[in-house]
Amino acid sequence: MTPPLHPMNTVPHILLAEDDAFLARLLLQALEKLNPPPRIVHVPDGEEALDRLSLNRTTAATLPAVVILDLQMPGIGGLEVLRRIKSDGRLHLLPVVMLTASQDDHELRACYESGANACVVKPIGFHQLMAAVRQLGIFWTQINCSPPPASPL
Amino acid sequence: MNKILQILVLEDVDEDVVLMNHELHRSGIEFQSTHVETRADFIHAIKHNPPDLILSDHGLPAFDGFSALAIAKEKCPETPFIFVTGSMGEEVAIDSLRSGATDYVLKDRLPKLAPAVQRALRLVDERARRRQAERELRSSEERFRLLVEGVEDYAIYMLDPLGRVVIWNVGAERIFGHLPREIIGRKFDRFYPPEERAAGQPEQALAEATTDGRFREEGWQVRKDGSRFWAVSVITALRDETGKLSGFSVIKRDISKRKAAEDEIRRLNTDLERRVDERTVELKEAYNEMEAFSYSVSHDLRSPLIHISGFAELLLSDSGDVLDERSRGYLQTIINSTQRMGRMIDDLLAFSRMNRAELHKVRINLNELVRGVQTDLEHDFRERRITWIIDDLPAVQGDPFLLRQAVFNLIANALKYTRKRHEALIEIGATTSGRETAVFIRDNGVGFDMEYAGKLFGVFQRLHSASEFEGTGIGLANVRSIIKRHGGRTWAEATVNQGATFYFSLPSGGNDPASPPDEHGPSHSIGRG
Repeated sequence: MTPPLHPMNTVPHILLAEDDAFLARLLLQALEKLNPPPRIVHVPDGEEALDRLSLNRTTAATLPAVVILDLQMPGIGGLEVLRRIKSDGRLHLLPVVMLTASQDDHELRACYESGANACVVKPIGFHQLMAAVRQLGIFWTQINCSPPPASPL
Repeated sequence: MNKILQILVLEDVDEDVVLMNHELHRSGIEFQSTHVETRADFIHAIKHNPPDLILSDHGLPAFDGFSALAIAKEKCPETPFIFVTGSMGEEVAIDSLRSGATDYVLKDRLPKLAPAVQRALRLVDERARRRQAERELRSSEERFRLLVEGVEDYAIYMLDPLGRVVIWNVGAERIFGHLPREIIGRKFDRFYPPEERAAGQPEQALAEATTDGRFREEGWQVRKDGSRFWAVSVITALRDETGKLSGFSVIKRDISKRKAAEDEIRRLNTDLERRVDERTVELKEAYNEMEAFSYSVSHDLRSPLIHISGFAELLLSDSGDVLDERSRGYLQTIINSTQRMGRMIDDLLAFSRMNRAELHKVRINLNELVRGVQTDLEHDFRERRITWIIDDLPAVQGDPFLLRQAVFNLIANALKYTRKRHEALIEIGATTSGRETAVFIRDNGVGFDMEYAGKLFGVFQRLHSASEFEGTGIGLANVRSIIKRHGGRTWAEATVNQGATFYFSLPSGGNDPASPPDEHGPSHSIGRG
């Protein structure tokens, strides 16, 4: 699903990179149940996630409110996408949530050390998934949707 | 010599004989003298009564002194011969001495006879002693020669100062293969391999022996047939009494066998090191495989479970109202089972992570540790009647996080299996024997059949149904693994419906703060991150 680009669209949206189509569907279902439902752009791998964020496809106004990255993806993995976002002066303020399969500390540590804003261990069970997504959704799309206003100085 | 001195006197004048005897007696010489006048008597006397000293006149009517001297020199060359004569010209006197006379005394100066005799006897004595010494030296040299020549296990040879072989023993012959006639006079550098000859090693060895007196070397030597052997050599510089270098003695032993044994040991050690390295690589590979395995478990097994439970829940929430009660029950079972399986996988992963975590041993106050666990579990038993009997526990050495996990699991277990008791009794204590500190946690819960005690600490081994007592069956496996990593043991005793006692022990050596912190941990640990 590659929705047409709407440069003027200012509705906050979520960029979700997840190669597992079934999990992506569950996540989309969970995210859609948020109120209000966010606009979601789902990409199946890291390359496309980076492409979506590239200069020629986005402006400051059309950047996603939050990026959700699966840690394990073929090709460019979530960690690499995270690192590129956090080392890009244009993108580094984007909140990034990492989805991990286990609580393995070195995976979690690697995520946080690379600048992840949050890590979510993929829960087993839709309700848990929804709970996790709701927390994230509320926090990142509603509280932290826009960068702080420029200082009047 | 205690024998009385036998003197043969050749003299035709009796008075002179008396005078001579008198002189000798006067000077205290003890002797017997035989007096002869003719050649026949002289020869007879020499033959049958060999004298110790001959005194002879020069001019005799039927015989002359020079003939007598010649006879004496032939028959008894060692016997001193002194001319005692009336007159003797200087030339004759010199002649007589040249012919072998020991001395001469003029008859008009007879007082000089005794000193002349004594001098002559002293000379004989000295000559005899010298001969004895020479004999002894010869025999000692002979013994030495026999000794050296007889040594077969060592090559012993002597070199002149220029390094040419002068003596070559059978050991040298046997070891090198050269016969003495083939090698004597040849330079010894032929025993060295060409590359060492080219490097000047033979000359260097002699130079060092010359400087230091002795030089020891170990190295390859070349036999006559060109084959090589490994030898240890000692070269000693030989010097004459003036300190001038007279040559070298070389003692050499073929230690090829020892060398071969040493090489073999070295080879085996290298081989062992190589095998240890290989094994380490294998273990690292196994470890990496284990990592990959848990990784694959966490990702590949978990994902389908997320799908199953996720869609089952979606189905139930989206379409639950079109399903009948029974179908909703089925869905709920699917959801419950997948979630249960998910917990098992998560526990298994945690177990595997725990097993791979590094041990950080410190001194631990078990009393505080138990109190902390009680606090953590408080909400689980707030509503229950529980009697705690907790002894004063000793301090132990261990990883605080892991030991806490073990104690937590054991206390949680005790709480869980006493849940059906009106009043739970949980007792915690410790005993320290020489080698280990054993800690026990006793409860009055449902207990278990000792027949299955061996299965207790296994992964996913459960002695009670999950519906009766919740859990994934990994808690005790964790306890055992943690205690094992500390070098301790775990065991349990129980009676069905009478309660159970779980024990774990830690090595008492771990109590000693001076002991290495990870004495009982794995020999290697691989860090993370």
